Amino acid sequence: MRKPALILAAFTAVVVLASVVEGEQAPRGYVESVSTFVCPAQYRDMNGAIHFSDSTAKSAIIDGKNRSMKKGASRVVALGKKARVVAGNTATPIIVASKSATWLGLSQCSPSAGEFWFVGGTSDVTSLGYFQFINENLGKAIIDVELWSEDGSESTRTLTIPGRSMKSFPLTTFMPGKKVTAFHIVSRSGLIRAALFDERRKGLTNYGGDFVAPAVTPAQKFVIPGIPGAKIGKKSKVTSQKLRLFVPGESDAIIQVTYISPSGIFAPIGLDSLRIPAQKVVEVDLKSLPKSQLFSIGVSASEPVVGAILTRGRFGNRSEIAWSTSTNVSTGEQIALPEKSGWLSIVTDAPKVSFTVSGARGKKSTVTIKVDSMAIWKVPESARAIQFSTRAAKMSLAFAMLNSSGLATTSLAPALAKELTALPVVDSGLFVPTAPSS
Amino acid sequence: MSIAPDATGLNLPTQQRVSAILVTHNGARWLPEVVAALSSQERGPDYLLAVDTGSTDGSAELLQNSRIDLISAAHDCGFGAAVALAVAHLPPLPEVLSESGESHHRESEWLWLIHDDCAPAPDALAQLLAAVAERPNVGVAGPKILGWHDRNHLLEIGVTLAHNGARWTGLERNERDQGQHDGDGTIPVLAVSTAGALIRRDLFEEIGGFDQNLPLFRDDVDFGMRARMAGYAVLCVTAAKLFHAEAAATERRAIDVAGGAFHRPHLLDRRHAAFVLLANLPLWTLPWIVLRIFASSIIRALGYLLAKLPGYALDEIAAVALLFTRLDRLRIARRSRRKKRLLPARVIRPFLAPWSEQIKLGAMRVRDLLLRRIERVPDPVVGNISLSESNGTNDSDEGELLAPSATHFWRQAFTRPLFLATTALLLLSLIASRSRFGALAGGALALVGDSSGALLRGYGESWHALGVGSSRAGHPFSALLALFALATGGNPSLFVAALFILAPTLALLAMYLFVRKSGVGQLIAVTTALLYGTSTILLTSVSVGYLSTVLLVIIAPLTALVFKPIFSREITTLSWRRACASALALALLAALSFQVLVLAIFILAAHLWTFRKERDQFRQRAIQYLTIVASSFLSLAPWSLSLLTNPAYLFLDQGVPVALSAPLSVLTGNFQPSDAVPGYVGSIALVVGVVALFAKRTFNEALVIIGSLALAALVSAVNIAAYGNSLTSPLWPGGLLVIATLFSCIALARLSQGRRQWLQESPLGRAHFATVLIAVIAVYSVGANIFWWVAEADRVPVKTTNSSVLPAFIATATDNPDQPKTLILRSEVREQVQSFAYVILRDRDVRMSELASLPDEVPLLTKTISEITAGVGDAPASTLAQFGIRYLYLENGKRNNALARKIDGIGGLTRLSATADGILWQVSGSTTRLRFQPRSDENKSAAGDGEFLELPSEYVGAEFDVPSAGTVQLAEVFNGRWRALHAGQVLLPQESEVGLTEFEIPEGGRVVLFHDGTTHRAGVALQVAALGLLVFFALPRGRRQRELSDEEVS
Repeated sequence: MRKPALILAAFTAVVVLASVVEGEQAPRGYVESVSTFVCPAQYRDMNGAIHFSDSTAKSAIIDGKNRSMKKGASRVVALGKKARVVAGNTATPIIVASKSATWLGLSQCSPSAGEFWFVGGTSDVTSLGYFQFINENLGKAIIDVELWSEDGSESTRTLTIPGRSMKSFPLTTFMPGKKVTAFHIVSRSGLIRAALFDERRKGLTNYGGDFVAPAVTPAQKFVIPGIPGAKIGKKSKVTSQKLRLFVPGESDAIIQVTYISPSGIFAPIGLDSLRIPAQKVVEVDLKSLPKSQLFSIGVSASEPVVGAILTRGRFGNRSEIAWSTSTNVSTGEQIALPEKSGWLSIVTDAPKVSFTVSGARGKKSTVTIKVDSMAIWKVPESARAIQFSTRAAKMSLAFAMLNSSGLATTSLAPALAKELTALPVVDSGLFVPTAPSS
Repeated sequence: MSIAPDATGLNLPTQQRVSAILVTHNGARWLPEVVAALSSQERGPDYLLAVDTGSTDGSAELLQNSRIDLISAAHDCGFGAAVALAVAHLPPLPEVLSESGESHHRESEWLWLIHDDCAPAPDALAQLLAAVAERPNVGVAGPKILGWHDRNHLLEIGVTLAHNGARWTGLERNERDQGQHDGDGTIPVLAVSTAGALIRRDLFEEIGGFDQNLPLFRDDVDFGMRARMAGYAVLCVTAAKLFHAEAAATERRAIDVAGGAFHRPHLLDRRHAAFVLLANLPLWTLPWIVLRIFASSIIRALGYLLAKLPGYALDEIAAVALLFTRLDRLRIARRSRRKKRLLPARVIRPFLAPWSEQIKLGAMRVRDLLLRRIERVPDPVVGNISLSESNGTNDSDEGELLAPSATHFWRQAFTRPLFLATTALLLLSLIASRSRFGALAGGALALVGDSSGALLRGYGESWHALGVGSSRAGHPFSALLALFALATGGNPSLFVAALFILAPTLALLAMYLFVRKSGVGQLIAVTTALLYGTSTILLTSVSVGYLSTVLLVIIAPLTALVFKPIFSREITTLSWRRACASALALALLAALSFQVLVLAIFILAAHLWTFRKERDQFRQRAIQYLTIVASSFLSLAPWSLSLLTNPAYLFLDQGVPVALSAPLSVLTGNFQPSDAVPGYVGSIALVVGVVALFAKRTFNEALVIIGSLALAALVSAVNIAAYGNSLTSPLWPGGLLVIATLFSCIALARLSQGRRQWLQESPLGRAHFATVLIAVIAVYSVGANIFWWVAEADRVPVKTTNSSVLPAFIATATDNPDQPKTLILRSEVREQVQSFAYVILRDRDVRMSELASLPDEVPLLTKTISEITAGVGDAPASTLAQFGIRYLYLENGKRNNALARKIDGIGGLTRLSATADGILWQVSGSTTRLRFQPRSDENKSAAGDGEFLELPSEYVGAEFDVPSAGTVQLAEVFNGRWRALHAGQVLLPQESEVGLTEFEIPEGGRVVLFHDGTTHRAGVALQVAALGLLVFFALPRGRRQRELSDEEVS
């Protein structure tokens, strides 16, 4: 009896040893990669600058020659004739552009992608707007521009953007005469950065201009934050605010619009069950707007929808337009600011939001504000960047500016997440053909 | 010259006179009985005359004492000469006539030839005479010849020649005489043996008696042929019996005949065989006959060599050689035959042994041999009754067995447990294999290819054109698989498909055989075999695709039969033959899973330990065990030699690594490989092992079970990057688990033997509960395993596949003389991280058996792929081009559109196609396997830089012309064994900056590029030698004729 017991004890010991020494899978190598930001180039008589959070950001002009990115002398780089690529490990750069005494525009640099939705712009006679397609890579990019207007689908345009270059196309070349437009840009091969600028003039009257930020992909629920309200500034008057919607699917969508303002959420009458026809770009007038400096709207729909809001009005002494678009909710944003006063709109369910503001010479301070669905924080002129903690609640952000050049708003895209990819491995599992999918 | 003493007392038939001639040569051993038989003939010969050819053992005295007339002849006088001498001494025919005074015909005198080792039955002569009396055309009549010792043993009923000259009786080995060949009492034959042959005297004299060139052996056949050609008939009279010791042919006595060179009967036999054919058959057939004689001699010589009978082998060769040194004799023999011939030679054709008969008999002999080895058939039992097996278990059925009827046989077959279990399991397997008909792949199983030849060729090569090239020795499994696949006409793919369907059934049968051999009852044997056939490890291996483990499960019980005697307590000394056979078996197992060899080392060491007190035995066994291990290790060279430098791979089984949960779940037998095995499936090994530990008679089995399970747990706790993988994965403990399962089945069978009776007789106690527990677990295990196997067969990784990894159009595109490669890229999200895996292929998929030869990861390539997938880096595509990669194929194009766009952005890659299956890019630049860059001249600017001349290449080597001095670059990783032959000089390779193989060619001209595989070939030679020696020594040693017992031969 003793012998078996001894053997069993030895056996148990070996098994325990086995589970103790059990080799962990050798760690896989990981590569952290961050996409680069691509900032559009200036167009015609546009003035503007790209604002980084500090001067350590590396960037390079996109052309056939140089690819290596270098640090700039200052944290502000003027918009050039050529687009610019910025290393991704920095706060999202912001672009403030203007045409003196005509308009003010705001945009963010953003990474190249294979797909963009744009709801905005116009192709009628008033349009001075344009599309800019930038290919930062070596290989050429072939893109399809799918077009819709108030009359429905227009024929798709296919464009080729050679490597390391940029091409601009006036909006009027896409669907001449169409007033209300939406664009879906899909890459067949390669990645691009698309920028849409909407500027209008009728005769000698300038109507203003603004960048149209890319909209989120069609969704049944989205938020458009930071829309200029009636009280945006002194001597300013919002003349019209229209929600432009497009249902890319086959069936019509029933949508419901809610207004979100610092004073709460409410659902306006008449916008609670709107039928939006599919495959047509429509505009809905927003009425009985909340009386606040800035407000936001939430859209929920029975079918996936894309949307944006065009605000027209007179600010100071001139007409101006501003595009507010839907944006992805995110956390941990890191945004460069232009050291100019403006307003940050924050839409979130959280009761309060904290963020760090970096000022000149690296001075940092933490700001905590209470939120009731939406909060507006007046951005001081000294602020160079703000950063939300990665643990912060999910929110939608927008930035608005109003100065002598005009009014501009932009939704703030989520910061670039560091993309963690595993180092490629050689895997003999690939020698095993997978069974036919049928 | 005289008349036999007793002849006068007989009632003489008036028409036939018989003169018996007894030829003796050292036959004292048999002579008394021969004389007695002659004297007790019912119808005795009229004369009896003995010729003694110089006997030294007192034969002559014996004959004289019997008062038989005796003529003495020289000791080297052949049988034919002795008979001729005797005939010359007989009274001439006319004298006989005048003496009798009656008018007899000349034809009525007969010679009856008797050897000194053959005894005719009392009525033999009477029967012979009766038969010839009715048939006047008969020239020769012979009796039916039976064994001397075993008088039922049928030796001859006439004799003829096989096509290679062998003496052919048309009988089975050890055929019993039951009158089955008797027919109507006479059989027309080509010839009859001279023992007891009754020959017409005038015929004898007419054709000149026996050929003096054939002093012994084949004189009878030759005589029969000549008699036939002279127009006479030759008969075998089955009613006449003669008992023959065949003393000369079975080497019971030395041969002294002239020309019986070196006293070698075998040599004489072979030489005479050839002589008879060459002397008698038509001239135009001679070249063909010569060819046949040569071929058959060589084949037979090889056979004798294998049977370790070099003397006989030498005889075979010497016989042919000697024959052709005396062509003059042959010429004379042919001339004399031509003179006396009445009928053409083709009259003997119908009597030559037909091919079909020869093949049939050969096959039957092989079958008998096998049957004797496998089933312990005691002795061929009378008639067909022995077909019904079940010897021993139901002895009471004996009475029924003796009266077999068709329905009874079928009823018995259908109700036999083995039949039922086999059929049921086969049916279940067929259902379970519903998604596994055709070429299989999945899990650990890559495609196996469809040509054994290709597998063997790949095994023999020293450089494998896989990925970026590898000099790793091929796994012996690949050669083994190629050989196994010969069973399906050399198609490994078909073999695997059949194997995966039949595996449970084959495992069941193998286990049944083993357990039955160990003396376990039928019912228990079937139950055990069923447990084994549905064991978790087998079904898991089939489902997950561990081909080698599946084979191991089937082969292990069969090889266990070979090993068993080593551990048997009854056998104290282990024969070297057994040791060699064990080494062979171990090599076979180790080729399937090296884990078994490692385990065997432990077991042998433990067994050796039990001999520690007996010094001599210990030393003997130690040497033998060492030989077993070492020689089986060498049998797997050159692959096994590579393990010496890479011991980490000792436990690595053949297969694409699969994810599995280890080490604790290994003990349950269900380690969830590829998540394919549900939780309720489990193995009984651990439970049986623990229970068996407490029973004395299964203690040793329990040790093996527990030991192999512990080792399996240890092994599976180790993570190793298999060949051609960058990630580590736990080792597949298949080999060890097979052994654990095998032994748990054996232990279970042993425990069950006699269990029921014992339990009935003993009071209720622990043993009863243990029995019930084990029974329940066993039943559950079989049930659960089968349920899973059948019900969820569609959900396991191994499935029929008609696709390949490499899209067909790329395979065609890369099958060019420039031998470009394709990089297959897979992107998947693992643990929320985007992961990439890649492999590099040539013009075809990698075969299962090539997995062990896969090259190591090239870090530079991995970095390049990383850059490509991230869409960064400075022209990463050019690195691909340097490695000869022409195509980049991204699997699953639909899901990876975003990645594809990123890859588009990288310069140097042109998208060729995009489908839902995958997206293909072509790498720009020179992507050929072999390229030439002229040496950049100092004077010239760097304009020519980067301009390559693309060179054609074979699969491995190449032969080409270069226009000038420069560098030849092979787009494969550096290996120092590459050689370039240029202008009579052998150039050594250099490693390029990125790690490729390069040659500096000093001037233009022809270059031959080859991989120097001397070391590899030496390894293979070592393997072949080790295997050859093992086979040679493991084969049973043939016995010389004189070593056979009397009873066996006659």
